[in-house]
Amino acid sequence: MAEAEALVTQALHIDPRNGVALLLSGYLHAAARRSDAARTAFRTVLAMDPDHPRAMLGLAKTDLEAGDVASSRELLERALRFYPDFPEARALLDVVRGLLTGRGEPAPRSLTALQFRQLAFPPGTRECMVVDHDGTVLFSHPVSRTRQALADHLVRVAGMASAALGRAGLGAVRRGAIRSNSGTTFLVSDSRVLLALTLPPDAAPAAALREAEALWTRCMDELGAARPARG
Amino acid sequence: MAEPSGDTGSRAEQVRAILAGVARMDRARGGVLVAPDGFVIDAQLRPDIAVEPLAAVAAALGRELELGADRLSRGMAGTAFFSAQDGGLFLGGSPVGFLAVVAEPDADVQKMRNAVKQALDALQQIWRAGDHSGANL
Repeated sequence: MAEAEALVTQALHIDPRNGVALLLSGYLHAAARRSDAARTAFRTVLAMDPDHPRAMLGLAKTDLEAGDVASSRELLERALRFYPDFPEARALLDVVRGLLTGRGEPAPRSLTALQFRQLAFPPGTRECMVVDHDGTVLFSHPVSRTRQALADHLVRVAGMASAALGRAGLGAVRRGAIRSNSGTTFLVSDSRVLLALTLPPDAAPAAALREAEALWTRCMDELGAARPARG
Repeated sequence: MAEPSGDTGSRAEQVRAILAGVARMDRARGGVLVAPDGFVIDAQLRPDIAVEPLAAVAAALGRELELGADRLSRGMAGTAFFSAQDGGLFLGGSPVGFLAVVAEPDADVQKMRNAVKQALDALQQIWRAGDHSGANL
């Protein structure tokens, strides 16, 4: 990658408005996870060529990373208007539309905040959260300052995971386990609600998932839905 | 499970061998290695799974997991597994990109998770062996 970056730098030194070099610099910044620099490069390309599909896709991706889902959708729709046969853009548009639908439309039946009275969490529980797919926090233990940010992140993860599973022909996400070096988050989800239980990193996955499913059942009971998640 | 093999073969061949090792495991439907910008580095998927759409969404999901871990101070993102009615998806990040492996519903989750983790470690070793000091773009 260093060699590629050196060549692109050289090209931009010779011709700072070279569209191909600017686009490549955007890709290289994105590949190196430098989202802000990538965004600048893609915007520069679009300032010179407003209908450039690859620059629109690149900018849509960086906007999605930044949480600007509406802008991402607009760019992807524009790209597809000019180039309807653009599979990556089509796939990402499905993702962002799903995220916006979850956020914009009220749930079929308004969900009330859960009480979870006398609930016993598994030993070592770091966090337990129940979230509506529109991002509404129904329950949070402990009540943290970052709970809404976490809820939004979980909804995006569940939406993207469903999209990826769907692309592989497997159906919508029902269970999940996300490991980081500070803990493992176990997910149980259906089309409306998502439960996330975060345990220490060394938690036994099978037992932890059983605990999450038990909490899920309790949650469904309390919501009055009484329908177990499938899958 | 393929491991980086020192001087034998190019780095590209080593990366392909690592992907093949995990994508051809028992009960795997294949895998894809995609850069954070969505560029497909290599894919070994069953023909009924379209590569580019899956890779694009896997890269977006991988970035969301990384950025979420960072924003929410969760430390470094590791591997993730998501299951649906008809199978599951393993996803993990490396400096090269994101490795996504599609699994049958009856796959041995623990065995496959370990294989994905080993593949990610091997990719990291290959990346370290290269020169990625970067230019001043």
